[in-house]
Amino acid sequence: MSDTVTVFLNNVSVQAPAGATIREVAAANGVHIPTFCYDDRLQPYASCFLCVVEVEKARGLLPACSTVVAEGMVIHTDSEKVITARKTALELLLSDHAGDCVAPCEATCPAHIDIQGYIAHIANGNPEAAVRLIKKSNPLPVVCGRICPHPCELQCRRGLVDEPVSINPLKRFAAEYELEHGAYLPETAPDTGKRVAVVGGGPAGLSAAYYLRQMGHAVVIFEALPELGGMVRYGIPRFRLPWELLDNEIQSILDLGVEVRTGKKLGEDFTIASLKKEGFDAVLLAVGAHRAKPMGVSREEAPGVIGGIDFLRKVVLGEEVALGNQVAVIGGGDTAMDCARVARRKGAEVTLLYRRTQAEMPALPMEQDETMEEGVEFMFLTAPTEVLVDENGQVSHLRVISMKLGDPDESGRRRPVPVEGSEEDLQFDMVISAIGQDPDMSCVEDDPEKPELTRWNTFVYDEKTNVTSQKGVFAAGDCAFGPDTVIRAVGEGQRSAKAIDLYLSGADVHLQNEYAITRGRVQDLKMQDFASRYTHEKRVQDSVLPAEERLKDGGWAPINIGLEKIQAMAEASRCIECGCNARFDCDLRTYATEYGADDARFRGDKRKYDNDERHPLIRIEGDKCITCGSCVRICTEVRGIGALCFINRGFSTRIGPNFDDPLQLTGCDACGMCIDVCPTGALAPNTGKEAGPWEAVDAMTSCSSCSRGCGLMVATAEGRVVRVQSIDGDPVNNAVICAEGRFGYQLLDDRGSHDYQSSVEDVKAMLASAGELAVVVSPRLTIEQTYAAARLARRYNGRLLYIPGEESASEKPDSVRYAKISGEANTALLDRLHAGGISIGEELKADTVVFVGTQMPSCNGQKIIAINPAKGNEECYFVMADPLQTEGMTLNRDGNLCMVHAVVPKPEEVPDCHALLAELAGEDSLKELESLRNALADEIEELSVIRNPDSDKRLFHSGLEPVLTAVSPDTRERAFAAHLKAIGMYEPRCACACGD
Amino acid sequence: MNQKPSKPLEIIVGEGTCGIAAGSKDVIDIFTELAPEAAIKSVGCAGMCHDEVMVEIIDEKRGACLYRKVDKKNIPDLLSFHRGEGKVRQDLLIRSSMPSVGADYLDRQTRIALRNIGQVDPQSLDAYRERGGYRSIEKIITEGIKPEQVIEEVRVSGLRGRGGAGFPTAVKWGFARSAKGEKKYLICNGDEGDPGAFMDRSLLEGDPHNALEGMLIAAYAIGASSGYAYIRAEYPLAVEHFRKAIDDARKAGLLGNNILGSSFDFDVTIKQGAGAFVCGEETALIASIEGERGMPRIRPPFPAVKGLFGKPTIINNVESLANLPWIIEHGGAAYAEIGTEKSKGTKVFALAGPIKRGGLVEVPMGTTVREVLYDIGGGSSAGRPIKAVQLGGPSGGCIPESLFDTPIEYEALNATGAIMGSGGMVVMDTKSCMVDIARYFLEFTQIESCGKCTFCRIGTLRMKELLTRICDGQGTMDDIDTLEDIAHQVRSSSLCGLGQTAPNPVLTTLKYFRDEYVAHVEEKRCPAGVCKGLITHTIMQDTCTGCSICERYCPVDAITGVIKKPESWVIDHDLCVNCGMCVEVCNSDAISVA
Repeated sequence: MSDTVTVFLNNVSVQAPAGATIREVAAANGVHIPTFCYDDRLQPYASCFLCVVEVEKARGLLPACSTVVAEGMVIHTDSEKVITARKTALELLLSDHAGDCVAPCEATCPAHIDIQGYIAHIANGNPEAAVRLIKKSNPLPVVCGRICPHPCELQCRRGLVDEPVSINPLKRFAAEYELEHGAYLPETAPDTGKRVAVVGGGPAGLSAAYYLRQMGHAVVIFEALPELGGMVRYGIPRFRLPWELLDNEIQSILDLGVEVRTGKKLGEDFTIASLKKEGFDAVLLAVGAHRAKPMGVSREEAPGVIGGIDFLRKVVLGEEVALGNQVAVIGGGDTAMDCARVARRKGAEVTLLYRRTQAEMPALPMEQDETMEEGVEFMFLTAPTEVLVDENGQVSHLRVISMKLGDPDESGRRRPVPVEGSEEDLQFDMVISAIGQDPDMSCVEDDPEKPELTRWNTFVYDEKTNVTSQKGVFAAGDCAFGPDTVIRAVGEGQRSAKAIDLYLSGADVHLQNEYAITRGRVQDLKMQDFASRYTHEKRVQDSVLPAEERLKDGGWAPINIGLEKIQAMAEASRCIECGCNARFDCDLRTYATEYGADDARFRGDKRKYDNDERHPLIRIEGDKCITCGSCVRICTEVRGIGALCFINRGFSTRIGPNFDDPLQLTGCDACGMCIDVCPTGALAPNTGKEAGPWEAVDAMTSCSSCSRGCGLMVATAEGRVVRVQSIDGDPVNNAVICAEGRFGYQLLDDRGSHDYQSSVEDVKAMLASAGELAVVVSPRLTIEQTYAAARLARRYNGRLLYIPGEESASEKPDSVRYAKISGEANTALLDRLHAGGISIGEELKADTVVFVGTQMPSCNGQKIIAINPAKGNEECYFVMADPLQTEGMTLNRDGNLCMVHAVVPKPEEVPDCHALLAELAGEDSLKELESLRNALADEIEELSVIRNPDSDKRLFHSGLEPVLTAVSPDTRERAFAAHLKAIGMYEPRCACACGD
Repeated sequence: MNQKPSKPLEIIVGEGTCGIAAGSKDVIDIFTELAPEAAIKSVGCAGMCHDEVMVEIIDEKRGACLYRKVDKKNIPDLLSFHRGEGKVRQDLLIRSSMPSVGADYLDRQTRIALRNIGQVDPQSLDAYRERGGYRSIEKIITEGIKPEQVIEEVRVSGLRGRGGAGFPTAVKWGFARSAKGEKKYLICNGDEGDPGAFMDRSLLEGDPHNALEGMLIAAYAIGASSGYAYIRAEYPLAVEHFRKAIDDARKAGLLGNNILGSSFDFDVTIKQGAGAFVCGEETALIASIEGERGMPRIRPPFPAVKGLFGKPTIINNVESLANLPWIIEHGGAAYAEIGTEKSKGTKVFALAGPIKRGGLVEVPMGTTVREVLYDIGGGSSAGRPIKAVQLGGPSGGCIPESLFDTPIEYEALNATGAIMGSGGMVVMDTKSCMVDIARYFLEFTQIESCGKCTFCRIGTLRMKELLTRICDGQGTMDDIDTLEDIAHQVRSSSLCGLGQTAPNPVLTTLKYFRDEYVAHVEEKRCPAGVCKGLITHTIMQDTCTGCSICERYCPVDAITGVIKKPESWVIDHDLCVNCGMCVEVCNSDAISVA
């Protein structure tokens, strides 16, 4: 049989090794084939059928993961049949998949802020991180934190337990905390040389400018009014949104380098055409909706009748408003409330007229209450029919008619119907009409590049990409979709920035939404699905000053008080974290997005299971499982344990611990490899709360839990370790790590971290009074590190000891393999340094023992110092703590051992191990690798080769690397097992042979 | 006592599972009581399950008479006749030297696999030997026939796997014979799971030594020293009889080491299956014997190369094995004379449904479906036209009346969209709704899916849900399209035969009876009057006799009327759940279903 075969892969002839699978051949030729059930560590299984390919002359489609290529095979990986089958497979899986890719609050928010993520940061006491996350979607969190109508809270599932989380006050807390502590300035990309004109400095325009600048485009904001802010400055009274906060927040946007031209009005000072002529590559129209809707009654032009938004703007601008004594405010929205409250503060008697009942009023209930408390009289079911004037033509009365509620209209609210003959004249000398706003499109009337308008007088635009009918002209905010919330304008601003960026790059302006599945809206869910899991806790909200306080001194001071940090943390911890833990790394979601799968194509039964959180470290969310079986197989095939199994048949087939016992009653040793291989969020670390999820940065490091040296992939977000996984293809362990490596980090947090320098000082002080000293080096250390450790021992008149390692009595299948001293250089070095070998378990006769890169079984009351800096890649170091504090990198000031370092130190903070040892030895000159090598070569002639600068740092390629062999377990594993017992795991079976 | 005593009566009672269910134990008791002089013995099912309890009575004068539907009422008549005192019960007589009813049923069959069934005491090695049993294996060993020659003989016979797929047995053996390795296994697949099929059960119950001899021949041919008989635990009698056969054979030196004094070693272990349909699939069956969950594995490697415990393994269906002793005894060429060009020999079917004579039928390949249904089965039992026949159970498909002249052979049946399958043959008349039938089979495969593959696990449920919607009158034409689309995809994207064939009932009914689907969707009508959501029951007052039996049986008290006043009888449609009980009990066909 020939060693290679020729196959045709998507019409290209390729050579492939005989016996290779189609998947392997495709991968080798750069063709990606999606899969859920394939994993390098496992035998091919072929269950998900996502990897299907078409092979000519074969019956049906074939799973690429397990089909071996044959000579002359003609393979298509991207034919229509293949794509359809994969899409159908995804749709079938999704039809039985329950969960929320993103939390319902985020899905509801028009700007799609990662609410769950920022709330978790607040709960962890990190409001700065919360703001950085919020500002990825919303550059105006202070503004929104005070005035947003927060539709997110209506969808908050905590409301099914007791009350929704106070999402908006939390945002306000974080945002104002940040403003006080120095606004966060995001990085901007290098200048692209493209220029964008943003017409209108309201929320939409500011938001667009903020994101466009971050993308490296030059931005000029044109604003007709004297100051930026648009409706939030000119339509919202400053007792609700203080100007200095608004100014600061706007400044934090402008600090990115946005040019502003105020007092410049489109249609008067410039046109769209002139902007293009001026060299702007794109124009964003965000002119808002600033024209008050007319009431449609006779004589509404009479002096004394004013539009609500006009009234508010004039007050802000300080213009003269002829305010009457008896003011009527028409309308039931937030603007009507604001008008009434401003008129009250101006000293008028105010009556608010609304044509429906209070139940239908669109203003937030809190706003209504506050308005009433401030002495505004409300008349419901009353509508104006005519303005009556006195002999001077000035308003004198308003003729109104009583209404009754009829049938519901298209908005679902009952339509008000006039009661015939119920007219009456009410005495008013001023009428503020606050029934809504329209965009004022006179600004583009004569523009040579006037975009098309809708019949509602808004720009015709694509709601997915914000493009208008004019090339290079985009629209966002109230002038595009009609008057709506600030947060919607902010969201549109961000989306238009993305669209403009695509346009400027010359790409197709096409924005694809990431696939997201949801369990449903709050109103469609059952309380009992959530309520039982949590204890009842009232929510904490902003507090509002009493009415008399609010109206004091003119009434312009801020009226409500935000949360304290401690309150915010408590409130944030009420979040029940609906969004999936795997939202950033779920294969199902990735492929569903890629293939445009529709979870509603197949309707029908879904399997429904409660989360299994009985195990303290591993959570099983059966609803999310796609039954690929990878977890069952890694547990059986690789670990040889078989703690998980398939249960039932047919559609009700599911994965679970054997006999549905708690996982800890099976053979599970909590290695968590099932989590590693799970393509969805069905298996997850049972981290408890406030774990995000956040988008994390991965960094490679090696585990310092034992001397085996497993690779770890440590994911961090905002300085927190959020996940530890194995590293693909790790030669040490075949990408299989243990419970300690994976979950040890959970015990690090909040145990009092030390900065590096003070740790070094602590250790030095301890060494100074060490008494008789023994320095024990790991067989895993490099020659340089070993030599530096020898110098440390010498400095304190101590002995250098090493663990030669010993063979296990029996090679049990679950015994781990440890490094053993080997290699000529190491042996020579240790010999020449007069180092002594000690065996594991041997009692050490010394007052103080320093462990370097390893740990020892018995302490016998000695002082112990363990130095274990595991060096990762260039991005990150990870220092592993001992959950039981039996060893560590440093000491607490009270003399207790502690090697807890919750935060991943930046690379510059932790030097190489040899440099640390040199520093501890007080031999700063040996911190440089070269000088250390020279000193070593001077001392030991056989190793003079090390002087050669070309020799590998660890002499790895000279046959001097440690050999892996099975040796006896050490106590660290016993200690960890005891720890697992202490946190509620019943009699874990230790991975080692210690008998625990 | 100078009168010479005549030879006592010999009474042979059918005691297969079907006979026992029909009351054979009581029948034996009565015979024992009324005819203490008679020699009574038990045999397996003769395949005429519709006529159980079957009894053959032999006396010197009248020879052997095979009776049907024997019970305590008619036993005295039978005994009287054979004691020379009464008349023959013609209505019960199936076969004798005299004219009889139902003779067509047996006479038109060609029995090779079933040749001893109903004739031999299954619990007696000697009885089997009396009919020529174990002569074939003896011949192989005493004449020193080489394994390769055995394989060649089977190749000449043209025998193809009777489990359903029809893979040539000799080719399969060849793979295992040439596979490297000291240890090889032979597995007898008795995990008969198709609803309606029971030929394997009958063979194991009624003639276990024949199957065991087949295993010996196969094991000798491939070089296997260990065998497993995988028999589902729901067949306790089959397990019992087969176990006894193994024990007796072992005592007789036919199993174990140095069989018949040769160097051939072979022994058999019974492994009882827990009743998972999928375990009839070879790789799932292997996983099950190995102690794993019965889930199919990727092929290749095929079991013949790497099977049970990683060793070369041949899995043969019971019926395939049951043919082997005959083939060795009479020669492959004799077997190949029966049947058609590509399908040789005979095939056993389990004929069921509204047909006059249901049961086990063994016919030569090439016999048409129509011959089986009408010549052997006697046609419809209810007087309604037969409109379709379902072949191959849940993996098979429906053949419409227009294709009844299709000859029974692998290729011809596949061309219709149905399959030979293991031999289930379910008859459907105009009272069968084809959509409902498809839904029934989908429900079966859905529950029996092992849950491994996406399309089989979820796709079959979604198909079933679509069919349920259509049956309930809530389907749309789009649903029919979706159903067809997903059916094709389940077929092309499943790992094992279960998933690959699960859509067959849907696809064939869509192919031949699409009008019934359309009627459900567009006219909201079930033409067969089966789908409860689409029918109403009405009393036809001009036919009704006012007997009130329907009122008494109605479980929801929806029927009211005055006795003997037919015009007063009505069904309250608000209460009626369309269970059809009234139709069942009405003596005057006075209830219309529309």
